[in-house]
Amino acid sequence: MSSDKVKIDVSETAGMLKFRYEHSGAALVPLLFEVQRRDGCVTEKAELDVAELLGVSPRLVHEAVTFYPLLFQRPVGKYLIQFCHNISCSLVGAEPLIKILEEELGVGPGEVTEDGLFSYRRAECLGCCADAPVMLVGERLYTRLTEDKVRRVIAEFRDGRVPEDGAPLTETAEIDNPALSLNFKVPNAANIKVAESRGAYKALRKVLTEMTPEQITEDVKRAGLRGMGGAGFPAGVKWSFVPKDPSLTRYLCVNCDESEPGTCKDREIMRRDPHRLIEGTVIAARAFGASVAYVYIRREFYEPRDIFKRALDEAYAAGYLGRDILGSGLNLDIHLHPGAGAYICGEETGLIESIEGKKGWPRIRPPFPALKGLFRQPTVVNNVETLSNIPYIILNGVDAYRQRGTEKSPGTKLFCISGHVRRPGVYELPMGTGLREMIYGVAGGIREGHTLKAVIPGGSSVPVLTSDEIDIAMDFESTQAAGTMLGSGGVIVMDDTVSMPLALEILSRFYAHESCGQCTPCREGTSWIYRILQRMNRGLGRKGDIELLLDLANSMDGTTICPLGAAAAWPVQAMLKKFPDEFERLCH
Amino acid sequence: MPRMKINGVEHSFPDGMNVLEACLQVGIYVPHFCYHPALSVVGSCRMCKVEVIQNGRSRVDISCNLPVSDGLEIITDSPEVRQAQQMTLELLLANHPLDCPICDDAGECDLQNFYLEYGRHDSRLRELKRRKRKAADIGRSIILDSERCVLCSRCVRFLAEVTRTEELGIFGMGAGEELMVRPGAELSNDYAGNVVDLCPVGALTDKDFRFKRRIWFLSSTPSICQLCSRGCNVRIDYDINPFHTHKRDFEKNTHRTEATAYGRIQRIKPVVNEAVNGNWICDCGRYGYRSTDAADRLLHPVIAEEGDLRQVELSQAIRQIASGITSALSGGSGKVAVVISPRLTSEELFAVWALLRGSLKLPSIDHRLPIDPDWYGDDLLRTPDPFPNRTGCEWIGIEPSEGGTDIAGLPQAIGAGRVDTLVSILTDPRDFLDGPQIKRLKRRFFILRNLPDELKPWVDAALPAAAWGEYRGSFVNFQGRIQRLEAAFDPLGEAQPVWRLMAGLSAALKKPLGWKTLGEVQTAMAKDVSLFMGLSWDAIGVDGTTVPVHLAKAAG
Repeated sequence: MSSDKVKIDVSETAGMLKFRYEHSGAALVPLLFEVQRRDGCVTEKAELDVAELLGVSPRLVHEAVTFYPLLFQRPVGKYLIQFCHNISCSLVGAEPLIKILEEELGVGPGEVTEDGLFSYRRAECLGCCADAPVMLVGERLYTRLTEDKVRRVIAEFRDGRVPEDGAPLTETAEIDNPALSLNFKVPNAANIKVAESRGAYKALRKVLTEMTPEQITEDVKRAGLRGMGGAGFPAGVKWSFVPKDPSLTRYLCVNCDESEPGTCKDREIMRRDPHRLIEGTVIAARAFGASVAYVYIRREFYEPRDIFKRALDEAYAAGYLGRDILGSGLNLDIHLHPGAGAYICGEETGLIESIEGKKGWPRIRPPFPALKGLFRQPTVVNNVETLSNIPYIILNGVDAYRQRGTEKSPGTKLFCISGHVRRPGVYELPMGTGLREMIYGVAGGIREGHTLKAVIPGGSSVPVLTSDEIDIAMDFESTQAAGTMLGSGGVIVMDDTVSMPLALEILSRFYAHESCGQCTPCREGTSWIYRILQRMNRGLGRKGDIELLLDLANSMDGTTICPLGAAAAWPVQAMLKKFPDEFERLCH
Repeated sequence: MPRMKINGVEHSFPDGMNVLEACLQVGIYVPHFCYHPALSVVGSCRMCKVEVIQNGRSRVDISCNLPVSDGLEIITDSPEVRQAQQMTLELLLANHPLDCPICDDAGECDLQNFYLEYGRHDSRLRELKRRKRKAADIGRSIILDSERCVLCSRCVRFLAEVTRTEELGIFGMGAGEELMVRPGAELSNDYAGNVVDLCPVGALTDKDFRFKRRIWFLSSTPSICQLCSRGCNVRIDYDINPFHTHKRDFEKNTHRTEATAYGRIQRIKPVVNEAVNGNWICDCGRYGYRSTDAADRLLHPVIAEEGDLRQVELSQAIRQIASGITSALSGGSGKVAVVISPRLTSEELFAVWALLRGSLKLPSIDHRLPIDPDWYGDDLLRTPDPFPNRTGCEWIGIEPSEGGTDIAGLPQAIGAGRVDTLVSILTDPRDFLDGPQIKRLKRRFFILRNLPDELKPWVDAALPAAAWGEYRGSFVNFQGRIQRLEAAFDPLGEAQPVWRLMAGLSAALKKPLGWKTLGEVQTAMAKDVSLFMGLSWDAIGVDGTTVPVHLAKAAG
């Protein structure tokens, strides 16, 4: 193919993307990925071409290319290996496996093998914590890695084959009347026929024929559905902030940027029951009058993306999406929008900026997204799991939903249990289920020969609990009363082999890597904390380091534009408070 | 008008104002980096923290994104606020290179000043400082030191929101991010110099000023830019103290040099005037100050003698010009043509006008010089007219009278012998006459600031005029706003403001105007020129004034 022809291909893509997205900025990141697929990276020349094609500022293009870890300025190997070195994978042996990988490849992070076949990067959480350790090779995910498996996978790629993962599906729970995991064990549930046969889109039909938008919002409010991304804000209340002015275009952003270490629930919904999310999305859009929805899915979710995309095509074909849905007059388009490897884009305004083609710097509030969000229009950002609850609520009624869980945290939730348990998995359980029951009952207890040391109960950001503190109910209020948070429901279990300063170093490395760089305390504080911990763990801790760590953590806690500063501070504060001896031992 | 308390005192503020602006308005300084009154609010530096008491609850929050509202209570100096400010400074300084001794911004750096006021901590950084690019040449006049950058994004926002050229961006992510020009761009737009003023630290420095002077050696005088008809408000930063040199020069006793040897004007900075230029000036105005201290300044009166120019007493030069004009007038008043530059202040214009039209009744006086074809206006500040006081000329009514010749008609009038004497005031006749035409003139008298070598052969007599920075006076800009210029320092050599030279010439012509001070000229002008009616130095004021305003004031 001549280079001219290639150029034309990208122009066509640009035109198509612009058409699809209405706003040219939103076509930027998808187009940059197109360019990267063509050239292996995004050169400065290509940046200028893209800027001209889309009519966006070359400054914004360069900011995006240099901001997002998955856009490359220099060519990578034919297969980019992304090996997760975050907490859940590290707990089950990621580091020794990375050594094996480096040995197999003969290159370090950021380098390309001589044959040009591989390059590798250490990746932050890939959102598959219950199947740790994991790596991506190109777009293929390999889970529950062992030394043999790493060597075998590399060898097969070298031989020109694309090996199957071969690992069983992520563990899930048996629960009566599941709201979220009904189809998790049903073969081909992503197929619309199978999904329909199990009740998919019934709730949508009901909504369109029997309910007004106000009634939907009212039911979701009464059900007490909370935001499942971590903050727990009531979903119906969020919708009700959106102005009713019919002249405004309203947007729904579906947050599938699942990146909080220890969290791997949205991925299961996307790949095992995508129609539930689509249905929930259409109903939510109906409730507050959105006409366009963006599903922002992290780039590393290749398999869930492909499954979800097929499901979208099916839903369009079946009349559940597009114009005049089921003859009701409702219009909704869903765009599947790729993330580009930045954790911060899971923050709602970072996500909005990212869709607009900018780097994911969160916005200051006010104005709030409900008034001025995506493209400065009223916008709601909802998590995948939140929306996926809606079909159940509509079909079974508010009372049925509230029957489970607690008064203020009703219903069920997907809990992701990872780390040193015998049966890691993604389990739908009633809100308020005991943490002890989760660890020792549902997840089968601590691995052979070891005892529990600590649990991070809600994703890497929330304060750690010691083994003495696990007799708590897992709902928003009880966890808060216990000095921690439910967060995203990522339960990270650590046994007696874990060094807390090392665990904290891994967590702090993550926040230092993911700080967007906008606010002073987080930009400077996260990397400073990480460097202190690195030094302490190398035996070079000094008197005053603990006090400094605490001062730095406190200076970020609640003092920044978005919650990442606080999210980076809490693990430090809690670890130092609950395991002081281990840290003091390192300072001399 | 929300009413709220700041540090215990209740005030009213207009709706839409933020708390930071409110504090500044009542004279309580809140330190800040990213906030700038002319740019969008980003709230990222986290320096402008205050204690906010609202509905009985207290919190520490940034003030730049908090709108004023009824019943709010703000405390700017509580221990919690101090601690937050100190911590932000510690974080900003952690990886800062602390190369203040070689930093141009030392002495006017917000980071330095805030450290003195709010920081004063010992560094606790045990790690190696992060290194970034130093002294990157990023454009015609700008050097970027990204280690010093506090990533406030003021420059980025200026280039996105004001010039819309977007040369700079913050690239990368997190702690490794860096301010830099985007690929393929350089920061050389017509307003690029403003980023140096916007930069709260020494990250963006001006090549023109780099390492020239410690800023504490500078004095400042407000003035009006003379390079186009907008009349941007500026400040002349200058140094006339020859002892302000390096100690090593001092020891070698090499400091006893003329002030001109190193130039008195060190730099030009914008002064905020919302009615005229807002916060900015263009690079043309910023860097166009060199003629004042240029090597070709005419410092003494000269007359032509035996094919060369000879320095003479001022009185002798004036006598020569007076007798030349008198001789010419014996052939008729039309023999003398006067060309006046609209670069003169209104007072100077009026003095010229009072003598040459008022007393001598010369018909051929004009100011409508051709405009340099390379000059251009834009939609930000630069106007299409490169002269600062055309409006002043028009108000005074400077134009040829019945039977006189305008500038465009001069070549023909000279060719026909109708004009044989040229009085050129701050103009270069080569701009409107060709060589043979100039040569054909019998007498060529000049009042000049700068005398380039190429003009010397045409000079019969020339008087040295005070240059920009050396005189007081006023301009009327294209909007009809009267603005005043202060003198920063004395004129070099024997140079004088044109009105004073006119006073001297008037005495030699036996038509004495008798003015000894600028105030007397102004009083006369305010009496004679209806649009200047009642005007005085004080009536113009620091921000300038417009005709309706000062006329209303004059009418009481």
